[in-house]
Amino acid sequence: MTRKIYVYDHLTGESYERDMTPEENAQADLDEQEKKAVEE
Amino acid sequence: MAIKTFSSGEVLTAADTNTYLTNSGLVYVTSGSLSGATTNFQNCFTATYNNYRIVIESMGTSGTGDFYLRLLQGSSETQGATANNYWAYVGLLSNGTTANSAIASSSVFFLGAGYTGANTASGQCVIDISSPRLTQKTLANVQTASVVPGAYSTRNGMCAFDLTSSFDGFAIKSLSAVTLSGLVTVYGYRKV
Repeated sequence: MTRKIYVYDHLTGESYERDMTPEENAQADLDEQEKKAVEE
Repeated sequence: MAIKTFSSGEVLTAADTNTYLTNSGLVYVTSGSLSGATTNFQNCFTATYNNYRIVIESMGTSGTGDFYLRLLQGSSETQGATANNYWAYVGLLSNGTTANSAIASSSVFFLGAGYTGANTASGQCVIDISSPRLTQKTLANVQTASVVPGAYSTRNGMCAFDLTSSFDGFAIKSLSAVTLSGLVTVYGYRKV
């Protein structure tokens, strides 16, 4: 599953939604594991 | 020290007004509504200010979940996600129950607000973050008010990033599929 990120870029003034990169998706998987570990 | 002192009957010019707007103590930088599970606020920490106030209002979740912050370099969270994040909170519920929270190593800043089930516009968080863009440790004082089942909750404490990394933005995240809602406003503390 590809997750989404919403972005506000102060430098360009742009705001947009984009798909997470493979690296960001991998980090999100780690984040979910960390959250579960903290909760347990 | 005041920028200029006016006397009775003196004309306040457009130039003076603009000077005051530019040099007020707390200066608006950017704002945006949270969307989905992760919202990035990129390039908002600049050389203009060393210290920032981040206000999150109308906090809510689509389900059971927490509010977290991760420091960014551009759009990258790689450095901010290293296990060098810490937090310590003194917490109390309105029914008198203690709600402290602390962690010795994490990949994020916990913002003190944890929600059970879906909630709408049910919290506020004020983050004073010092020197995120400088090559020194980044520390933040955090004050959060939120709701838990049957009570209200407050947590006051700190978050720290223990390396001397430079960051120019941040992400607000749930660390799960739960989506977050709220309005984030970033202010800079004017340098003397």
